[in-house]
Amino acid sequence: MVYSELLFFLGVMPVTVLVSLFDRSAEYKNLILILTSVVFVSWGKPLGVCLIFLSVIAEWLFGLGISKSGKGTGKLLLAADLVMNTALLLLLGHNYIFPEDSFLNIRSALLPVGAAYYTAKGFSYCFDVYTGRCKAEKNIFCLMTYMVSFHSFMGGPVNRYGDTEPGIRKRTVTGQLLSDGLTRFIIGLGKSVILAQAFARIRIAGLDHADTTLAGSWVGMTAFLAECWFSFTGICDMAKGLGLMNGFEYEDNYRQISTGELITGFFKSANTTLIRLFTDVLRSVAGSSKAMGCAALFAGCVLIALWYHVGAMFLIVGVAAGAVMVIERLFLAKAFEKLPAAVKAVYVLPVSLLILGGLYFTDFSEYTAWLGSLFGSGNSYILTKALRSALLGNLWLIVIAFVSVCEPCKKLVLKGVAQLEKDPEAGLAIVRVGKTLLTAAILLICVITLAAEAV
Amino acid sequence: MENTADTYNISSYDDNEDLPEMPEECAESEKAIGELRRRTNEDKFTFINVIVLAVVLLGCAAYFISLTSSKRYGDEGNKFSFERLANGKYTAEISRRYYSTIAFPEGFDDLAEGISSLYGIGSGVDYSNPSETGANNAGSNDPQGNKPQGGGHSEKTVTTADTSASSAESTVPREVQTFYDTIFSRTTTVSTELGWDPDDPYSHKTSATTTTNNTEPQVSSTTTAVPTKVTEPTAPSTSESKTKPTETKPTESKTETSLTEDTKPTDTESSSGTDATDIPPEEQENTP
Repeated sequence: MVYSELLFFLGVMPVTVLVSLFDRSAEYKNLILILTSVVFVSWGKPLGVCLIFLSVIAEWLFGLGISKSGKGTGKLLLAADLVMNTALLLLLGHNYIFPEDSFLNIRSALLPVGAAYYTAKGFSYCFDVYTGRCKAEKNIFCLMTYMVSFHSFMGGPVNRYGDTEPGIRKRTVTGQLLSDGLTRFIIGLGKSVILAQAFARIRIAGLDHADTTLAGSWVGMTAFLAECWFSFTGICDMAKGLGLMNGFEYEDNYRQISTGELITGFFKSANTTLIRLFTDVLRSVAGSSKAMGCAALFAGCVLIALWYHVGAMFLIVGVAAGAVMVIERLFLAKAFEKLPAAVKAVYVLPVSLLILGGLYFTDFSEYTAWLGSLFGSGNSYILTKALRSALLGNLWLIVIAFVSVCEPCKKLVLKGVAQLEKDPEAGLAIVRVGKTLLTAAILLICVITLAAEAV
Repeated sequence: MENTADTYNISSYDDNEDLPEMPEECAESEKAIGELRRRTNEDKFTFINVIVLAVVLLGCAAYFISLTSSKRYGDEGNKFSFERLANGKYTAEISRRYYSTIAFPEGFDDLAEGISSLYGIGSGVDYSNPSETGANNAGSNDPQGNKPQGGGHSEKTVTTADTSASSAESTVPREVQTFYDTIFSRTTTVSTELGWDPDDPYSHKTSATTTTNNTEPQVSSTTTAVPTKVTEPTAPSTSESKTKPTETKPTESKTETSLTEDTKPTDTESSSGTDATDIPPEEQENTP
């Protein structure tokens, strides 16, 4: 089950939110959340959920052990927890690396969703207990609520236990939170179902055919990255909306794309909470020296790439990204500091496209062929009719997507809305009612699109 | 002691007398009143937002859930047992019913198509139904480039060459060429249909179209022979390929330099397109 399934947001989600409103106590809400998470994770794949609940008990024991033991023993326990979570990640999240005849190879029908984020949260809990960022939890049900909460299974955030614990023990669901949660969820659904699919069509028209073209190579790959961005941020928005509807205020797992911090800032725009976890862990290992910091930065890029997918191309992309970020830290950051944003964008956007384009391919030869086609090698034509048709057929969506991503355009729109809102009588009403109607329209369009796809 | 009430009693002053300065508290209270009014309005619109979205969501939910009644499936329904729950069959059957009983599927399809037509300004190119009107003036040199009355072009199927499939997988060249005799006499369009598998969700309808300039010497032509794997054991010659089309290799007659040198970009276009409507939904479950 995923967030953008009709069965989830028209069946499971409304029932869960309504039932959890029957009582104000946090214990009742936690129970409903745990039961719903079991249903969500085990939908069609019930066996994997047993492993998840067993690992909750293991994390609880590890946390208590780390808090009560000395530094040496604590370090050993933390290392054991890291090994356990890595093994779970490989077994449940990256099972494809095991050969088919291996006993570790599990049928994909049995693999639960969200293993990568689940294991990251589990390790982050023990790491925070070790570093003293939070206390070890004695109530296993509070820890279970944190670990198995389905809000962060699909796209994060990797929220830290210390930040979530006050909400687990006591939270209230107000009308404002419900409103914000519903709106955020529907906006995320729209990004995932409408915008990401539009860029998928453009990507297919540009890249997925035998004859490569110049425009297809550039536009198609840009569309691929846009598809990934809107799909990921859509999932994050849906997760945040679900959290708000249940009384949790998670932080955003992405930030506005900006070229201010060059490629380092660009790559850190997505999955910010996971990157922060890796940064904290590697910084504690590397210490304060510059050389070790650069080595940790490089290692972090490689590890994060492999965390997404264990494969040769992801490793290559991680190495390339790490190398560029180290070079920026050592040399380019100061050189580019005073340059205008437009000049930085001329550097950041093409280089990012060249590096991240490797994620699309499974073979290095395909990647090099695509690199050549970017500059005309092997291309017979400039533009295909299919690509032109795909671009024209999704023009308004491309404009909306561009405005949502481009900071200056977004500021201009928000400024206009703020200007309109200044009139306390009519302006506020127009803006708020318009926002409500737009959100309702997005929801209906998503329902129709998903129903048409399901049919 | 001065009576402060009389000091600020406005009615006791004549019109010509200067009124005393109003204390600043009134400006502050006006600000406070404005802020309270704004917050009250915000709360009101927040409530409206929740109600509207909840009604729409619950309305859609009621519509879809009401269609998954077990009575539709008779007594042999989705039996609940621990074994069926443990191996996922119970929940899979619920999902299957939920999606298979969507009412008015054609209506949803039409609505989705109508909505998607709002997303763009329209390419004006219809690959599925070429117009059958228009004169057959292929090759005639009409420097005026008059448009046909029907606004389209006529279609003439030239060759349909296919071989019978063998039981084993084999790569079989399959050439189906359709020439469009256009009234746009400066151009001739050659369209090659590639194989596709209607049952394979990852296979797409494709067509390769090369448009060449007739007023100039034939400097470019592309004949696309698409090898497709045919897996049907006893498929007739008209069967469609069951696999994705493999990479197209152009023939020796193709001249790469002609397209950009001798012709205008609009006169010479080659496309290898996919039917954008046959896109399988993204599988988000594979996201780690």
